[in-house]
Parts: sequence; C-alpha cells; structure tokens
Amino acid sequence: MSGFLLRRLLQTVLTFVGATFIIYALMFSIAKDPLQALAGEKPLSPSQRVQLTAQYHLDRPFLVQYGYYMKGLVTGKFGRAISGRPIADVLAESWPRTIQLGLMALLIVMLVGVAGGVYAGLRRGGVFDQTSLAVTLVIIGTPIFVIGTVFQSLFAVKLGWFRPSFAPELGLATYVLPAIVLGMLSLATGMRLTRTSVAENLRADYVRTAAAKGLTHRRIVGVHVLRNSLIPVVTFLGTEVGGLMSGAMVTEGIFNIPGIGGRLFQGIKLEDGPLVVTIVSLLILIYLVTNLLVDMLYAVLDPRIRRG
Amino acid sequence: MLLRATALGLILLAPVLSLVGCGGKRDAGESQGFVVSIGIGEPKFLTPSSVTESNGSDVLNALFTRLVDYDAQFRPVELAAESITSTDNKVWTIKLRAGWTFHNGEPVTADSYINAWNAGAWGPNAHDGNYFFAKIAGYDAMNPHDAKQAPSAKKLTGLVKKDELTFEVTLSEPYVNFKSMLGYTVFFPLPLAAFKSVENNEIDPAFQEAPIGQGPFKMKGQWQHDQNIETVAYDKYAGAEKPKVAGITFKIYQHLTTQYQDLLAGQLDIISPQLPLENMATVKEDLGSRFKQSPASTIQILAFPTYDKRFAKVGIRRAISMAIDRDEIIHTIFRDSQVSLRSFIAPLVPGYRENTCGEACQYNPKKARELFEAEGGVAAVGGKIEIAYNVDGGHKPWVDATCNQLRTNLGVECVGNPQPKFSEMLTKAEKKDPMGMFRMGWIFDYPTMEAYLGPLYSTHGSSNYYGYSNPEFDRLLVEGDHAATPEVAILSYQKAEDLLARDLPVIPLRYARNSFAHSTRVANVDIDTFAHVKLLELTPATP
Repeated sequence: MSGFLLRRLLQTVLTFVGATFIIYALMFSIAKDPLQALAGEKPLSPSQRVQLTAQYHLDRPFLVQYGYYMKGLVTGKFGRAISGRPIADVLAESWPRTIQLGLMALLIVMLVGVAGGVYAGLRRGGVFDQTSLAVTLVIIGTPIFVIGTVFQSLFAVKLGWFRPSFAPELGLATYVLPAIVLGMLSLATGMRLTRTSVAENLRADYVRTAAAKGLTHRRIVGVHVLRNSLIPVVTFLGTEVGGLMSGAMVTEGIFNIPGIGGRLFQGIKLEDGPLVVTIVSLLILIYLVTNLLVDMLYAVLDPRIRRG
Repeated sequence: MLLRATALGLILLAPVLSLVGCGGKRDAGESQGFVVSIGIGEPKFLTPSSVTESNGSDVLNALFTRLVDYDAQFRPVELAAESITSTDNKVWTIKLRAGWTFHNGEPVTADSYINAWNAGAWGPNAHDGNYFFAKIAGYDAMNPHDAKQAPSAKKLTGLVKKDELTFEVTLSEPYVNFKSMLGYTVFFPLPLAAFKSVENNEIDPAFQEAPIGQGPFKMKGQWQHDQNIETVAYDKYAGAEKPKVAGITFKIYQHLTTQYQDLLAGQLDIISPQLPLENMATVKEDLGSRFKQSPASTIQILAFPTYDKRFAKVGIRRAISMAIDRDEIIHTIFRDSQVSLRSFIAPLVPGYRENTCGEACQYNPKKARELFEAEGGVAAVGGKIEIAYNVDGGHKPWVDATCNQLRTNLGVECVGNPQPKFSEMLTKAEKKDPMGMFRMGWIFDYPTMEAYLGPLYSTHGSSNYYGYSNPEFDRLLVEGDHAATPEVAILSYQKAEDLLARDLPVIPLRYARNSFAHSTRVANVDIDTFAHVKLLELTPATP
C-alpha cells in the first residue's frame, strides 16, 4: 500500500512540474506582444513599454521568467495581473464562488445521477430506463452553452423562478440554476455509467451465488451490487471534480458568476500571462490531487488494488 | 459495507452543507431610495488619467464632472469651468467655478487639476491617458524618447497657477481645439487624498478602489471587482443640475448577453451603449419603445498598406471600394445597428460633411468592374485579394460578406485572412509582411475632425499603421490646428479630408450606432456624445 502511495505521489509532482512548464511556455509564446494586446487598438508610449516590461520580467530569458514564476507559486507570492491587481486577491475572491458552484453541481450529480442510474440499472428495460436513456443522450450531445442559455431564458427570464445572473444577496440559492447546468453533462454520463455498472453486476456470478445462498434481494443489491458498481462511478466523480472546475468557465460566463472560470476567460482574452498561468496551475493541482484521492479511495473500495 | 459508502457520501457532502449554513441572506434594501442599475464590463482602472476605455469612463462620469460639456452641434461649453479662454490658442486660461468640493470635503482648486495632470503626464506612471498631455509645454521633459532614461522634469512647465481657482495652460504649439479636448476623462481633477506624494507624482494605488471625485455621485463602499460599483447622490454637489435619483449602481458583467437577460427579467435598468448583436433581431418585439438608437463615433475602415504593391494604384483601390455594397452588408449582417459611412470621419463632429468620398464610395458594380479591368484586373492584385482581420472581434461575418461581393463584382478571388489579435496585425504591418488589406476601427477621443484626421491619416499619426503620407495633407492639418477659431480650422480640415477622397488610402465602410435599452422602472434615458448615460436626467418612471 505504501509503495503504491509513494509511486502515485511522485507521479503527481512530476506531472505538476511538467504541465505548468508546458502551459507557461505556451502562454508566453502565444502572446507576441502582451503589452500591445493589453492596450488594444491604441498605441503604447515608449515609457509605458519600458515600465511594463520591467514589471513582468518580459525582457528576461524565458527560463528565468519561469523560474521567477515557480518561485512565486511555491512561496505563495503570485505577483500582479497585468491589470495591476494582486493575483492573490483575485484568487481569494474567485475561488470560494467556483468551489461553491462546483460542489453544488457535484451534489446534484451524485444525488440525481447516481440514484437515477441505480434505479435504471435495477429496472433495466423499464419505462424510466428507456426515457432516461433518450434524455441523457440528448444532453450529452448538446453543448453546455446551449443548455445554459436555454435554461436561463426559460427558467429565469420567462418563468422567473431564478435570477438570470449572479446575485450574492440570495446566498447559495443563486448557484442552483448554474449548478444544474454545470452538472448536467456529468449527470448524464454518471447516470449512464451507474446504470450499466449496476446492470452488469446484477448478472455477475457472485450475485447468483449470493441468491443461491439464500440472501435477500435487498442485501444482495444494497451490499454486494452497489459496492462493486460504485468503483467506476467513484473514479468518474473524482475526475469530474477537476472537470467541473474548468467547465465552470462557460457556466460562470453565462450566469455572470465572478469565479475562477470567468477570471481565466478574461485573462486569456487580455493575454494576461501571469494570471492565466497561475489559475491553470491551480486547476492542474486540483485535478491531480483529486485524482490522487480517487486512486486512494479506489484502493479502499477494491482490495485487489491495494494488495496487488 | 453500505455504511462506508454512506460515510463517503457524507464526507463529500460536508463542505456543501457547511456552506449552506453560512450563506446568510442580505437585505436588498429599497429603503435607500430610487437606485438605477447600469450594466458595464469590469473596468481596467479607475484613476482618471489611466482611463481610456468605456467601462471605466462610464463609472468616472458618475463620480466626476468634466470641465466642458458639448452642445447639440458638438461644440464645447463650460461645465465645471466658469471660463476657458485664449487669445492666441497657445496660452489658455482656465477659471473654475467657485464652491465645488470633492466627496471627502476637500475644496476643488486650481491645484487639484495641476496635480492630477502632472501625475498623468509623468512618464514613469505609465498611465494609459498619458498621450493626452503631449500638447502641453514641458511634456517631452517628463517623457524622454529613450524611455530607459530618467525624465529630466517632474512637472509640466506649461501649467501655472494664477490664483486658487485659476490656472494657465501653455501649449507647445497653438491648438485651436484644446477646449474640446478638456471633456475627456483624463482631465478630471484629483483631491490631495489621492496622492502618496504630490511632489513625486505618486498616486496611492488604493485610490482607484474608491475614487473621490467632485461629481454628482459618490462611491458607496469600495469597487467590488467583477460584481458591482455602487454610488449614491452627493448631497453637496455644486453643479447647476442635481441628480434626480438616489444612486447609480454599475453592475459588472462578463457577457453582454447576460445583461440582456437581466434586463428582460427586470434585474437591470440600463444597457448602454451597445446591445448584443444576437438580440437585435427581436429587440423591438421584446422592448418596444424602451429600445433606442443614436449615432456613435466609432468608424470602421479598410486600410491599404502602402508597402503592398498590389494596391499601389488608386484605380484599383477605387474599384474595390465601388464593388462593396455597404448598405446590404449592414442590413443583413449588422441588422441595421450600423450606418454606411461615405466620409472619412463620423457625423458626430463639427465640420462633418456627407459623402466626401464621392463616387468612390457609391456602390456601382458595373463601373467597378470596368475600372478594375482597365487597371490590370486580377493580375494587378496578384491573383487574389486578402482582407486581414482580428478573430477576437466578431469581424468574420462581414469580412466574408465583403469578400463575396468582391468575388462577384470584380471576378477576383478574395479570402479573409484571420489574425488572432489586432496587435498581431500591427506587428505584421510594422514588419511590412504581406497580409492584404486590413480592417481598422476608430473611436474619437473628443469631438473634432482633427481627432480622426490626425491619428489616422497624418504621416506621423499614432494609428496610421498603413503608412499613408501626404505632405500637403500634413500641412493642411497643421494649418487647421493653428487657426484662429474652430470655425476657420474646419475649413482647413475639410480641405485635408478632400485629399483623402482623392488618394483613398483607406475605404470608409460604416459608423456605429449606439443601441441602448432600459427597464420599465426608469424614464428619460438618453446618452451623450461620449456614449455615456446622461445620469442627471434619469428619473423614476411614472406609473
């Protein structure tokens, strides 16, 4: 078990360094002239140029810039975005909103997706199974911004059940509609996955054996089938945490939630290298950590892995 | 075993549950009176001399009152100033109205302006509006050409205080339109509270989180980044016209379409100065008379780089211009949110004349084809025409439509040449890389002909990226700048514009229309020359 853990941890660190380096290189090779991009269609005066160049170490070699950046990242000094705001402030404001949104979406995925999937799997071929198959297929095939805009027009503007945009005075309620939209895709995938998994396990040999031993149906499903069916679902949910955080970019845009996705979008638009790289690095970190946790959970759920 | 799965679920749930616990409801509070909300994007800065984009200047327009306003003919009239006079257009005397105070109680004096302008002109501050001060004497010493050198002066020699409320501005060259310039955001005054050190032109970085102005509204709390900026009416506002609403809240949006949804749902009062293009088809149905339009200063042009031999002949350029059906593109692509432009400036400035471009801008496919063939046809343009554009600005549809027209009307292959950013087009133009014709847009800084002609078409113009150079044009422009009165200046500017019609270095395409809309709560919504909502005219709607 400890060997397994150590190996995974080492992998995580290596992936992190490699991924941030690639992101950093990409961001700064794309921006040929980030200063001019910032100024838009108006020209920059030479003194503005010198000032800004020195501020962002743009005159130093690429590796030195990366060095400065990693040093800042490790020591928690993120520096300033090109707009002049400390990146730490931007992050401190944005993260909680994205996390609230992401967790609420995850909650919806777990409650609706997993429960629905189990139900569909148990009643395979039934009315619920058939309808949910059709609905989830449509959802999986629809881009998230279409779902988002349609839901916004329908539930917020036409019916007035929700606000069309972020309203902090409503507390958590303001995240409900965006979370449904954000969780929609994972929900559909999660539901299909759970359904297949449950349906497959129901036909497994050990279920027949258990039934032959005289166990009640309830115990077979509740303990044996569910536990074994959950293994792929937990992996899926784990990776979805990272996916939800980055998927928030579109949803946050539609519903005007000032979270991390919105900042990332803005940063890319302004070619704000420092901001983009910091956010993406943190997203990578979250993704890696959740994956690590999932693998550990996996080991808990599946003895073959921890003993293997 | 089921127990473990449940425990896992609870662990994952815990953060959400705890968040539910702390998400308390705040009182929306209608008790504070009638507050109007206006949608904007996140401003870049809020220190006046750094603000050259519309979001920031929308906010500053509430917090500050400018020195001059503009009349119906776009001529400047004194607002915060009592008088702005000059005998030679070189030395200008600005006398302020008495009794004005900043929101923190500090009186507004000549020093408030001198300090603010010096800080804006100070090169090392690198403020976006720095170039506005270039006409004032002493600017060069504060902005050395080799930017790595330290400036040799800390203050503009051209700014001299006469008494508490009067100061004198000396320009390095006479400039007849100086008074028109003064309506721009960068010329707002600053209180002493804004400075870390007046001596060193150092503005407190925290100032822009809650700017203190002398305008009709003052900040309520701090700038809530990416959320909103709240203001309330300033009870000691000294202007003649007082606000008729209790406050303005600027709601910050990432996308224009969300603003529109919020307006429909009654969560936002005003969208200005542009509605999302995708809603233009249904806007009349959705809003009726609450949707309004007015001319804007933004013009769109197609430029011919002078280094590109393919477009060296005027005849070729005329043929291309005549083969473009501006009205058709505006109707189908822009749904009439823009207007065809057949002059080199927008109709929002004194001296504008319609159709100065003449025959060259009239759609005439037959004549265009004849001219094109006579000038060498397809071979003369090297087999095909390219139109470069930046993909981040939504320009693809109209560039493709223009290309279709050129293909049909001139019988020449035409393709759009997408560039990731406008700045990359500029880099290419500087390196003289062939990229074909390229698109450009221009918004004036203040309403004069010179605000278009100077930067866009003069030899050393700051945005003359295509390299047009005509000594006669430059001479006429200087003649205009040095004229005795704005009226005389216009005559020279118009002669200069006529040269553009002859040389056709660019093709005028269209100018924008502001399209704004408001909710049922608010009435008397209108916008001014700079496309700002006229905040002082807003009133609650009478039921």
